[in-house]
Amino acid sequence: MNNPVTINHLSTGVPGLDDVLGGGLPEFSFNLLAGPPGCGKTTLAHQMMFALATPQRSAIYFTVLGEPPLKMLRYQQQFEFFDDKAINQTVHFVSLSDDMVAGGLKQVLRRIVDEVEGRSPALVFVDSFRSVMQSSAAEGKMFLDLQHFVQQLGMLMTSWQATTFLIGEYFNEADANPVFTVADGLIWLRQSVQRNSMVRKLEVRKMRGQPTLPGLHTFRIDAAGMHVFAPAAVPGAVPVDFAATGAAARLGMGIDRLDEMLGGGLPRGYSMLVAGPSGSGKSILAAAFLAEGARCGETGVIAAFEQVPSLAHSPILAELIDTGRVGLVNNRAPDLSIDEILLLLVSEVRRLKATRVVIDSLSGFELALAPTFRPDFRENLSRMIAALATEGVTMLMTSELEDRYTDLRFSPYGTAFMTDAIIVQRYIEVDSRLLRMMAVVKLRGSAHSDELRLFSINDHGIQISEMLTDQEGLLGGRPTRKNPRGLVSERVGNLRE
Amino acid sequence: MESQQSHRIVVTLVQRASEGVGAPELADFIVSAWQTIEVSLTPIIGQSSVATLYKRSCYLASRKHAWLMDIHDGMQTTMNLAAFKTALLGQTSTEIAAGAGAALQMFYEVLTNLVGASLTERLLQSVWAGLLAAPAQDKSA
Repeated sequence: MNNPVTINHLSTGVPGLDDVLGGGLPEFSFNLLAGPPGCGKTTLAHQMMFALATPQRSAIYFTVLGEPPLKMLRYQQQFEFFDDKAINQTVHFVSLSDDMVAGGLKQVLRRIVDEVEGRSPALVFVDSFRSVMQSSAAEGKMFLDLQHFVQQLGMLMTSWQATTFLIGEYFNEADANPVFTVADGLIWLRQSVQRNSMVRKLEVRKMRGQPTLPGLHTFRIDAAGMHVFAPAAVPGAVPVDFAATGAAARLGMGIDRLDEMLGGGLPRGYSMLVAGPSGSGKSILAAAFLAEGARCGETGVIAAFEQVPSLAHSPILAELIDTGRVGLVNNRAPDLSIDEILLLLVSEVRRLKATRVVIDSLSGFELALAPTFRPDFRENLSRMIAALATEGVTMLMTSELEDRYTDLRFSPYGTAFMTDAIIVQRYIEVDSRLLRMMAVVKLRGSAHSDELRLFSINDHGIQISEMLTDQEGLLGGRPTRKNPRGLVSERVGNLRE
Repeated sequence: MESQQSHRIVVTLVQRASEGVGAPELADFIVSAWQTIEVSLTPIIGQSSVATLYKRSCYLASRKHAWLMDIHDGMQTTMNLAAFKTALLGQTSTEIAAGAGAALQMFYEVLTNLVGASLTERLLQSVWAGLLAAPAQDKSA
């Protein structure tokens, strides 16, 4: 019978990191935290240490030749996780710089063993490791070489039942470093610089025996410490059974006649794209969608990347936000990622038990993202829509669309196929006036109107009127009046001349 | 900013001098305080960091107590407490209390500037406990 050992997992105390690690850190593992200077290794180590250390599970933090301990203590205590009451109680700092100078790796190892035997810590941190390597290379064979040092350290710490972290600076990750082989876990931190923007990213290169989330995960360091934006888990397509919840199958859009055009409203759980040129009324349509939800006792969430919704442009929306019926996600951080926005959206949706989500607009969203995420915008957007669908919400996204009168386009991202429904708004010229028209282009699995309807915007919002049955060529932007006798058409503009 | 704790060190030492405690006894007491500092901090921040902070404190205190300059002079990576004691014994009890007290106070303040009051308090807990409790014990003895 196969009866595998149960490996306990430690919760790192870093938001999002446990998910990326595939369920926390395996107890007694031997881990390497690597990355260039300034990428947050020491911060990560401290944050985990203060979160993990308890009277039953104490920690020792060895400083070798890296950052002088006095400075490390000075700067690390700026973070909220730093608890000076823990020092000399559950957390012990031990400087090995003098030992390194006096006796190299051999003496460092001896001191580590002495301290570990003396205090029996459950957590051991060695900072920093690159200095150990360089120094061992310089001193050659006189001292214990690096590979032996790491192997012995790894073996000793596991036997002493200590979860161990080596903190090191590595510039060349392709290097076949023996340390990488010995380590059970390899967490790589990076700073990705593109144009003027810097984004911090974390990768779990290795974590023995558990399903880590592959790829680069954005993280941010602020006063609270490190926060990893783990991608939302998107389980296999599990359609939410709305019939079981007893909720109405279709949602009202809050605009007269639009529900009719949609064959009775937007089916619950659908995602809709509202595409149109600047000023055509997309945001107003989105606000009406949320207001209609509030009228029916539903809550919503809006991710606003256009104007700040509290502006006078949309007093109804501002009021919904103020009264807590609509949650606002309005992040303008320079290192913004889709994962972070998704995390914020999902937490707002859960907090408010929201059923309606608006993203206004995708164009603003793309601009708000750090440049490094823009090339993957479509992939990430598709993942985000899928993740929000599993929350059971109905989504409305707006998309800026440059008016092109030569073809019918829905969105600059090819997002059209990702959504279940599309409404297009356009400007047309009729009788020397700029008029607006709207049409339902797509509504998956449902009958819908195929009419091009004129609409206007007044104090009460969007007013949809009739079709322009006496005009043709509307999509070309400059329609012509149909000749009642079916003879040669003349341009509407020409008729006035 | 002068912390209450660090001010109490000077007051305690001056008080002991005025009570007629002799120079050798005061010197022993001060050296043992520095030894406790060395023992408490060396494992955490390393020998040379402690020695540097010690020298910096003597330097700052030497502005008012020039004889402390001798201790500051010269590059050392360890605290030479034997030399310090010799220097102390060349002074009167009052001057030992004032000068050495000032140096200890400076040490406390420099560390507070670097790592903050609460962490300094925690790191030097055992030092001040011994230093400030000692006179009371002596009196009762």
